[in-house]
Amino acid sequence: MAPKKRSGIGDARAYTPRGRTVRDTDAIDRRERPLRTDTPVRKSVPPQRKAVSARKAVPARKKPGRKATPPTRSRTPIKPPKIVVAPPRLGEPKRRLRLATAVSLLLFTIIGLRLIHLQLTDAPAYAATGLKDRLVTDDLPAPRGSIFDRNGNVLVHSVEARLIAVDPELVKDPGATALALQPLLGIPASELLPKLQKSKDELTGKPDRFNFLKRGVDIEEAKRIQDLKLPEIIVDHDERRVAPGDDLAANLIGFTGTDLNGLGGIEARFDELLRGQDGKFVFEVGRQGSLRQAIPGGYQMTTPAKPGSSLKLTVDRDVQYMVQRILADRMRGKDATWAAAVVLDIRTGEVVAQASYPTYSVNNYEASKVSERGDMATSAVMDPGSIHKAIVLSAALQEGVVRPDSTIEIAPNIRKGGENYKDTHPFPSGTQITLPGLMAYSSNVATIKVAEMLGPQKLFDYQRKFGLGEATGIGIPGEAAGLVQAPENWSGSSHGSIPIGLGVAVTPLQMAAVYATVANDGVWVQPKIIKETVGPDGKASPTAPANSHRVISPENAAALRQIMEAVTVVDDATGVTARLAGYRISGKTGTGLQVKDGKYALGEVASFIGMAPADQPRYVIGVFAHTPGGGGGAIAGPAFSAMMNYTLRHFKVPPTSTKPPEFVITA
Amino acid sequence: MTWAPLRASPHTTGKVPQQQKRSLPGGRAVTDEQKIEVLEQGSEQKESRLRRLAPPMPVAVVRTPFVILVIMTVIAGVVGILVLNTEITENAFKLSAMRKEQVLLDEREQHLKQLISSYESPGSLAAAAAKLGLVEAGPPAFIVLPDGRTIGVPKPATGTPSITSQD
Repeated sequence: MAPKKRSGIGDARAYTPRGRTVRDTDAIDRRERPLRTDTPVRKSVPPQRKAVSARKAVPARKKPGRKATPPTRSRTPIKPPKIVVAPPRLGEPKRRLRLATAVSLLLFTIIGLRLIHLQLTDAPAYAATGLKDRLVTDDLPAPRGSIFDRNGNVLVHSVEARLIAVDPELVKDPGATALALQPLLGIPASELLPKLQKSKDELTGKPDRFNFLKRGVDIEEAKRIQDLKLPEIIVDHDERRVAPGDDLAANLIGFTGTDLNGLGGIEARFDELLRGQDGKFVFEVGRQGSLRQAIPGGYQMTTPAKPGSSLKLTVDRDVQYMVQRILADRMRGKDATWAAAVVLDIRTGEVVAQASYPTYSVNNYEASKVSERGDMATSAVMDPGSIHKAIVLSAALQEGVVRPDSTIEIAPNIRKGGENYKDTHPFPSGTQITLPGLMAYSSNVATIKVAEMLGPQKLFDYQRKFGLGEATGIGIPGEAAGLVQAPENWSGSSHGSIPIGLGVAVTPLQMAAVYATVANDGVWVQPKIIKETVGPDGKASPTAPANSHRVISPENAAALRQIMEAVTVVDDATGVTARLAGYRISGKTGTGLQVKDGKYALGEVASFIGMAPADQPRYVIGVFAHTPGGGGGAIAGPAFSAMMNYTLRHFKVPPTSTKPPEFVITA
Repeated sequence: MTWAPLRASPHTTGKVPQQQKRSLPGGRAVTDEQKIEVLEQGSEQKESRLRRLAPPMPVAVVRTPFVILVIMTVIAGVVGILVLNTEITENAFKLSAMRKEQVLLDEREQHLKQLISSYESPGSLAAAAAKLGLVEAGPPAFIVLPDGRTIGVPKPATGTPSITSQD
């Protein structure tokens, strides 16, 4: 309906009484106004509509309102139209305003609510997702603890290195990549190629995105690889275990696996202590380029790295080196299957050196055989042989069965439980042999006779007191306990074999501790190898003092030391090869056996354990070697002499100024 | 002229009824006599009143310096904060650069330490000594103090130098 479309604007223009608005004056009815009929109405008709408007001029004219009456440009006078202007339907401004207000308020309320929603409810979630994009994590490496010798020299330590890995999905040309990496990694391209090929995880079926190429790469080498700018190559922080001495104390220290977890020796035994825990530095960074670094005042969270504690061993690096070298030099020529040497400080029970043969390189442990990696001094179990005679004599002296000047009537051989035991240096039947003579010529017959006087129970008790049949607890994994038989388990021949060290299972370290007891005036001291633990802050805490207990009296120990000196002093004794110019040596040779698979293995375990200086002992050295044949004097004696020579000079032990006594062999 | 006292003072309280009369709308209740009286009184009163009710002399505080001071303070604060923030950011960059440098130096230090420890390991030392043609010394002689007695016979080292030794 045309009149309805008429707006009130025209009215407002038409009449505005002073000071009043259209609203105030209410609607103006323009019908009351006289119409201008004398002037033609200007019509503006678009040209294209001209024809139409010409024809429909009159009907169009009937339509009131702006839209309906476009002023025409044609100046043709038209008839005064009979205009019937319907009263304009005026709006209801109040209602409109109210509605508009309501709508806008509603809009603002919605916006406000949404804002509150965003700012209060969802804000933390949005902020968190935003933060995640800006966060960068830096690993704070916590190196594994080092292992030092007694003077703080590094035996093994961790160094910062890099790992080189590949994302096979990004490899474009495996052949070219392999060739480029080959010289830098030192791995043939043929070995690299399979790692560069795309592959799928067997379990999840997802493509593999990470393959190790090499670990523990030098930082500088890694830099050269990075300079190749291959997008598929991943270079990341890694740690490498380095033993500067290579095979120095290798069998004690052990080695670590790819993730630096201890796999052998002290590394395995004290893995928890040595292991470090990497820290993290999480921080907000800028967008890119030079701005991609920590935003001051931004989110920062540091989880401090916990470096592992270090261990200080009782081992002396130089003595260890020389002992290892002497042992290896001597044993190589003797065709030894294994050999071990132990250097003990008798007062503290500290292991100054503990060598094994064969040995291996810690830095390249994969190239070695498993049999080369064990610590023979604690893991080799053998029948000690004649070195066991010191235990028999100690017990006999302490129990008063014999006195240092006693003599024993011997024969070339003796039968026990159907077994014949004979001497290597036979004396005619009825010879009265002194205790130094017994030791010097390692008389089995005399020892069996002394043990007979002592009784099996007493011998067993002293074996146990000297620490046999029980692991020393030195702290090296895989330590054997050995075995000593209680008297009720003795067979008839045990009365003959056990006193001379057969049918007893011991480790080299246990036997060295026995001689250290004699050297230490009769007090057995538990051997120890860990001097102190050094925390990451550098604070050293000594390990618990070694256990110790008295086994024999100081007088008896001194008497036994003198008796055993005959072994090296008497000209045709068994241990003359162990002599050392300037020092008095007290010790004992031994030729034992090794049980393998339930029977004695071929070959013999040659051994020599001695102490020097004999009058005031400081060090006990035990040398053991499993060779195809040969007594302790021939094989272990010279090695002992060389080792003791170095050890005494290294620790600046002055030569013995006293002369050894004249030994009487037979009475 | 009608006016109401802005402030009541003890002197004016007595004349309140008069004023009330005067202030009647249209002044109808005021007779001519009263008017004259009032005018006479009024002029008198007005003078004294003016004296009494004169507002205190305005304190002539110059505002410009204060405004300038405030503006300057604000500007100084803003600039200060800007400088401070810039400084913090700059230091953060420096810190980050120094951290990176420290990592490099740490790695270098570790590398050198590793070299030293490998050089001073007994095996390397023995090899280096052999390379220089050194041989192991034999057993030394000891001089006992204080009497100067010697134990052992001092002898020159008898070992043969390594064949690969230089000279």
